[in-house]
Amino acid sequence: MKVKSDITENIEVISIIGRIEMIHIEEFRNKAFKLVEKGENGIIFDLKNLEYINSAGLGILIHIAKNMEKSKRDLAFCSLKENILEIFKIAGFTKILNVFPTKEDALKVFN
Amino acid sequence: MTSTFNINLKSNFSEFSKLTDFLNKLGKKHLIDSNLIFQINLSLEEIFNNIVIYGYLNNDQKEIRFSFKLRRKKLIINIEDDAPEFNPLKFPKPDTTKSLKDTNAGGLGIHFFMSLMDEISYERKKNKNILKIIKKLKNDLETGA
Repeated sequence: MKVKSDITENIEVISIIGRIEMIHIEEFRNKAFKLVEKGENGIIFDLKNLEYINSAGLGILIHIAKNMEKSKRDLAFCSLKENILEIFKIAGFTKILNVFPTKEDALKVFN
Repeated sequence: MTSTFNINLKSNFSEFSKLTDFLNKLGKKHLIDSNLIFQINLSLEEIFNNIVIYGYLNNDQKEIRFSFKLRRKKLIINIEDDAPEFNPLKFPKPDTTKSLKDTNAGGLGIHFFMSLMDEISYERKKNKNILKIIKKLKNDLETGA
C-alpha cells in the first residue's frame, strides 16, 4: 500500500497504490488524512493502481468525502478498476460520490 | 472428484495474508478469473475481520478455520469459529440510498459478501458458528487427478 500526491491544474491528485487490507488501515487513514488537508482547491483520488480495498478502507474514503462536503471543497474519484467500481456500486457510492472514468474527466468538475 | 484444503488462522489481522496467498495460487492453478478471486478474497476478509473484531473482541489467540472444496464450477467454503452466536444472514441490510451527509458506511462488510457470493448458509452447532459459502466459477475446473 502506498499513498502519494501531486498537483495537476491546481488540484491535489492523491493516488492510492496497491492493496488496502486490515493491516494497512491505520497507516492508510493517517497518510490519506494528511494529504487531504493540503487539497484546499479540491481533491481527486486517482485509483488506477488500487488493486484491492475492504469496507474499512472504503469507510475512510467516506469519512474524507463527508469532511470535504462540510468544508465545501470538491472531491472526485477516477480511473477505478472494474472490480473496485463494482464494490463502489454495491456500496451505493456511485450515487453519492463523483466517480469518473479518467483523470481528465474528473478535472472538468473543477473548472 | 474433489480436493479439500484446510487453512486455520489465528485471530490476528496479519494472518489473513496466508489466505490471500492461497487464493491467488488456487486461481492460477485452476485458471479462475482474477475478478472472481478478488470477490472471494474480499468476502473472506470481511468475514474474518468481523469474527476477529466482534466475535473474539480482538483477542488474537483464538482460531478461525477455513476449508475449501473445489467441485466442477463451484468453490465451496466453510468458515468455523468459536465466538458467541452470530448469524450474518439476520443482520439488517444497510441502506445504500442515503445521502453522503447521512451515510455512515456501516455494515458494508456483510453486505459485500452477501452480494458477491452465490449461496450462504449459517448453522450454530456445538458452540461454533459455521458459515457455508458457495461461489460459482465461470470456467470448467480441472478435477484434481
